[in-house]
Amino acid sequence: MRQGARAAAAVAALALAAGCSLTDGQAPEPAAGAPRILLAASPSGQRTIDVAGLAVADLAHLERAALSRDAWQAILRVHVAQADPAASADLPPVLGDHAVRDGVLRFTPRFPFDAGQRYTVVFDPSSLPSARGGSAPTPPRALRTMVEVPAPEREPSTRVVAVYPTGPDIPENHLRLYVVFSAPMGLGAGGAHVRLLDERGQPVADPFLPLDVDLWNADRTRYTVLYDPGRVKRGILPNAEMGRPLSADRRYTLVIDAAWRDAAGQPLVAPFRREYRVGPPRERALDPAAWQLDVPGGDTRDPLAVRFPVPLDYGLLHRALHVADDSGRPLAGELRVDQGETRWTLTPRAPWRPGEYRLVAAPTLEDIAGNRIGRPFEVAEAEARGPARARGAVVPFRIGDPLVRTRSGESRPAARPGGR
Amino acid sequence: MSTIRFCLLLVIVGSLAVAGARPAANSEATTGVAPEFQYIGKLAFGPEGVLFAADAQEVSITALHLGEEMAGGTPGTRDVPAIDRKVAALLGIDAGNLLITDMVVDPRTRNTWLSVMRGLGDGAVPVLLRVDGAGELEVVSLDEVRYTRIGVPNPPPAETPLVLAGGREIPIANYPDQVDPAGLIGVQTITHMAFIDGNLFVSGLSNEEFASKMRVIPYPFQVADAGTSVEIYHGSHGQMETFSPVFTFVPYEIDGEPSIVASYLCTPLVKFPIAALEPGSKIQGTTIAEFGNRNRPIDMIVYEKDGEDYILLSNNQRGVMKVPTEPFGAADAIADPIPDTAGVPFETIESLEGVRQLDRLDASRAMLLVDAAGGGLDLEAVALP
Repeated sequence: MRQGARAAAAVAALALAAGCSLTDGQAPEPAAGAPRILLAASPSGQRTIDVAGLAVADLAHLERAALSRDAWQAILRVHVAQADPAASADLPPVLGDHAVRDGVLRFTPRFPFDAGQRYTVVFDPSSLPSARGGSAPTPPRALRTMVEVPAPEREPSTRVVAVYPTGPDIPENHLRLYVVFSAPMGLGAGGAHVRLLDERGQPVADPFLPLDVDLWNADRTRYTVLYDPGRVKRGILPNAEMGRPLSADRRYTLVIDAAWRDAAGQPLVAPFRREYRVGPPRERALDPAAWQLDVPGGDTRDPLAVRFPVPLDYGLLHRALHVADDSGRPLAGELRVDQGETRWTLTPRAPWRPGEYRLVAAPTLEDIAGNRIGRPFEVAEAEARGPARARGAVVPFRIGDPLVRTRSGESRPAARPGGR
Repeated sequence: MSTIRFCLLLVIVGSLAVAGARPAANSEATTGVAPEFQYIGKLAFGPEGVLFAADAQEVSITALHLGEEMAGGTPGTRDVPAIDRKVAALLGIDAGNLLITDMVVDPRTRNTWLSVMRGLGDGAVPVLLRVDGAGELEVVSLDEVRYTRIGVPNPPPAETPLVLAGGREIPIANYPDQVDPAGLIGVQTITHMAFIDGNLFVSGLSNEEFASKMRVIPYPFQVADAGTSVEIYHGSHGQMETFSPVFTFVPYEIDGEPSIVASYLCTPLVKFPIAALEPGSKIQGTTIAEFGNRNRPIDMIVYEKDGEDYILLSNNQRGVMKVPTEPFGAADAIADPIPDTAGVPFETIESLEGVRQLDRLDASRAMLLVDAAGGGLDLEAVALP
């Protein structure tokens, strides 16, 4: 609606300009037909800067002229408004195209004007034919104005909805955590907004990896925070200098401040805090033999549950574990990770058919300290050349025939045609 | 639900025990005109007229066939103070809404190229710019630029259609090991690229696993070959070994052997021969220096001065480090945990603080994107120390 109104305003200005022509060399009068600067909008919504009220001769001249970018900008230029005008002297004008269209001199920015950003527009008619004709008693003065595309009114609405791991206990060699937001976040660096406080409420020095890249998921709703691996890994210089960021038997508080901007440019609704108790380092390879499967009955859509003795990595639990049928085809279904990342469930899309299945773990599966199946995060080099490579695992299981209740209350498999 | 508890019969699968050393599977390189990016990130110059640009959002690498556009500006270089504000002004935004994602120098024209994101929110637009020898900033239009691209959307779609016998399709929940045609899933962010003798070398970081791979992708990108990927390890002083993502690297010949000098995420500087980057191999870099906390290299260049070779490393928390390469050939793996600077000696160049981006400009100068005294960033050529 607002765009439509502006387009109408531009059209109104054009009508006034057409009804009042300025003669060559005549200084523009502050009348209805004098040149004026408008923030206009095309029917497609593209914002432009239009100079209306120009003499027909000037428009014709501009239309014929093959002007350089500098020459066009000498006539009409748009600058990003600066808080300190003195600082703007050596800043280039906004990139865009100049043209005579619809009876106005039009500047179309290469990139759309930013909502909420103020722009300074200068129209200098001194290089127009009407100014160069020599008959003007005084040189025409430049017009200067400020325009702004209104920003929609917004309130903070994005929250931190989860931080993984969710359990209160983490090992001293914790390697990575995930921060999940309720809506996509902006591109600004996230590292400055995540802090770790010790028991006295003091920030832990340099606990996280300082990089010039950020690690997000595809829709920028999940941010990965890596502890500095140079401090987590033993026996290398940062670890020797500063020790691990976390110490066993201490409590820490993870704080995410609310100044972190979302994709709409708004801060978070509230800061986020999570307290963790730190235990001894976890330095053993994952052992799928210690996983416990709760296997549902046949012909149901009850979930298969897999329980782990220690929390596994939340992100990897979504792509490094799957269930395959006896021909190796992955089963479609809904994954769920809960109970402090110690339980993984798959609810199949179609009811379980009785038969043989396998839970397949990829070699990339890790716990929250980077330990993999058959290979701890840190492994003695002598072993590393041999068997201590990370490997996948397959856990076979069987979905039995549907259970029926007998009169005595016992459960027994239902008889199936053909038997099994 | 009736629950039956089974005693687990566990099978460790040998065929999966490849520790990431498998060659990447087939990938479809795509070609076209007017490439679009979601998030333009790291840049690297390739063969004549080609600039590689990584998309950090969809994890793809695009070879831009810029041709004559590459040499369109005044050759050479010029310092541009407050370049972030100037680029922002040109693009019509406040400097606070500009993100410069990489800076590289064209080794042929000595022009500087910047990849930036215009805006930080929903409407952010990727932009490629060139700064020429007259100090002119030019937005490089990709409207008529031919390209070839390799990579896959990341993450893959939530479901993948599975074609059954008889042509029937069923959607299956997505398990990336089944749908990772370019071997790039799990990379998430490309941290560095370099073109070496017909191959594009790529390092990256995963947002979900500590291990990540070096990738070697032949160029021109082939329809059916996404190159090889090799996992890189780090041995700490002959005792413990871990996976070790390479964050940045530079090609360098050590005692006649083409090599990679790489900075690990955990700060050691390591070397390994390029010939070792073979499918199926497991590479453990030889540590040649350790830099300690807050010294993680972000960019690296090689140069020669007074008959000696050096590597210059920039860092976003401390100054620039200068490392003589002469001891590299002899440098054995650092054998003991040393509570002080270890391995080859290095010098911190105190005068070069706040360096955000670093590239080699010519034989005697480096180009820096460096914190400006009054805030913001300057583009500045400096003599190599």
